Amino acid sequence: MALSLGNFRSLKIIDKTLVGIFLNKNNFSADDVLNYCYLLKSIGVDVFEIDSKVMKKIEKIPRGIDFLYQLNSQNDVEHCIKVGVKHCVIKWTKLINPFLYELILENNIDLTVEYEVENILDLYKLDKMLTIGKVKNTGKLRVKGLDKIISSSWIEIMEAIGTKYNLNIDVCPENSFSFATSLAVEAVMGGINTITASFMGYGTRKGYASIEEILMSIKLLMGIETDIKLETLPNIRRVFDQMTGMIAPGNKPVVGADIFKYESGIHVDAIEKEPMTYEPFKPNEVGQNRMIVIGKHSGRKSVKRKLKDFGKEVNDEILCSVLESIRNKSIEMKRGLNDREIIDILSLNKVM
Amino acid sequence: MIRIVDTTLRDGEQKAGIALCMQDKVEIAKLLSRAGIYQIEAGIPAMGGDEKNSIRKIASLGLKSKISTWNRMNIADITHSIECFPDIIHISVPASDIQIKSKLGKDRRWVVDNLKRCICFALESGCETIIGIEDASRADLGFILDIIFAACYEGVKRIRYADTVGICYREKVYKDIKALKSVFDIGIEFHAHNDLGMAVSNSIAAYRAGADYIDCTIGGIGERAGNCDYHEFVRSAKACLGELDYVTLTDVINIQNSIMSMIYTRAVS
Repeated sequence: MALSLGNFRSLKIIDKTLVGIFLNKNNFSADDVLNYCYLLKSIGVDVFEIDSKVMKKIEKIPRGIDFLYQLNSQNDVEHCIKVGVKHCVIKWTKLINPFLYELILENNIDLTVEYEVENILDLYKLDKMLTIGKVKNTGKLRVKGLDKIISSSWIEIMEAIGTKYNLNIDVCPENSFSFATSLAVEAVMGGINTITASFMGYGTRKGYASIEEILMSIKLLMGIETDIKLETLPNIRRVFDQMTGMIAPGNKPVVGADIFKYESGIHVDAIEKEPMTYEPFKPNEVGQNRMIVIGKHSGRKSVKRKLKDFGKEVNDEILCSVLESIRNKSIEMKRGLNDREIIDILSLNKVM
Repeated sequence: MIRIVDTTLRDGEQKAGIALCMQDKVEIAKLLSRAGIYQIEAGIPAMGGDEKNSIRKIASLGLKSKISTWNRMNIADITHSIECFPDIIHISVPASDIQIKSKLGKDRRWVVDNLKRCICFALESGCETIIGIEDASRADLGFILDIIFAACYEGVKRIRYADTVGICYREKVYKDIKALKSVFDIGIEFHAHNDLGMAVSNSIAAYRAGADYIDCTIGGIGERAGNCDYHEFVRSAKACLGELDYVTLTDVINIQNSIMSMIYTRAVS
């Protein structure tokens, strides 16, 4: 079931993560894969691109999950028919094989044809290619890549192509130049109703748009009522980390472990008065909590609050001395301080 | 031509848990200058102590990069900056109503009046003075124009558009920067945050709209999800705009690795 964007509009997000994971790893169970799928479903993604490797692991289609089978050979077509996956995607270059094309048509497979573009010029070439016939007959086109597109003018061209050839367009931006999420968000804002992306932008070649970034952008930027709920993101992240063996950077947007850690006095003070001063969204919206770090950039108020946690109150003179000691220790350690270290400083200042 | 403003030593270091000593800050500044960075935002002198001493030291090195300091909009902060002898004094101006009311407990009129006082004070020191429109992406565009008008009247020649909470998308960035450029003939700087994963893309859009100064940090480190990643921005600008040919991607990666190593190599405890 697609995500509702209000006004009778819905958005389908196709998750390409599993195909990428299975390229490199296979040391997890079918249950791990299904657990991943059901967790993604909880945030509104319920179509998963798979290939023969993924299908062989899980063996049968789980209830409530749609698959999009990536066809790379005749064997894939036969396997797809055998396991009963009804929707497939194929690179347009493979359709040159007439036997493959006929096999697909004979078996009434719902087909999306994938075409790669890098820039606006390529989109005009796509328009010409579509007159050939094989692609437009399928009714579904995936435009993949879009790596070098730097302005939003591509959306109009896509819409025109969709209207001219009566095609349902799926946009799959690749992240060669860090534009993928922008392109996906632009596509959704521009009226495109199917996006292919991956969790944390995962992909072994250039990477893709990040599902979690797209969903949060829709929530924050489109000014519409949505049913997007992202509290389960930390659970998804745990399963993903286990399957991939990756350790994502702490500042990864939306899901990073460090994105709600604060130290700077100016920020801590402002957030305590009104979190929205420096937060685009609340930690609990993405299943996280705020954390105050005591270190070089801490202000008097943070330190005062920390002392209160230890049951201590001090005058301004001692507070200044404690703050200076904290800053010096933090510089020496090149990090924030733990409670033990703070207590040691308080002892030296005869507070404890 | 893109001019990169590196804010690793200020916004970057504000990432919770990062603490640089003077030696590290000086070495990082030297590396950035050798890489051709136009401007290094060296820190916040009002923090005093080691931070202020570090900035004073960096400013005294005679580096090719311009050295700037970050200030809240008050005379005390600017006084600390003047004592460090930077090339540029940056004054951050809260521009959104949420920042003005919740953070400061003031109103728009107070912001403009106070801004004028601070700019005059900073300019009297002989330092180039620029202003940062803090939380510009959530501010009323009309009020942003008022702020810039007041600043230009007092002699400011560059402003920073700060997407403080990272909620810009590239069409909005393009339109906002174009709107500012259509009214004022001044330098525009763009400061991105990466909360929605669009910092690099937004920075490219800002340059296309006329913002010649782009803020980056090494490794994209900074508050929350960080800032525009220097390496990713250079890669995009080279491939998609044909810019920044004075530095190679290999050099950028080497600089990035050296600096990240300095930031994250910790004492054993």
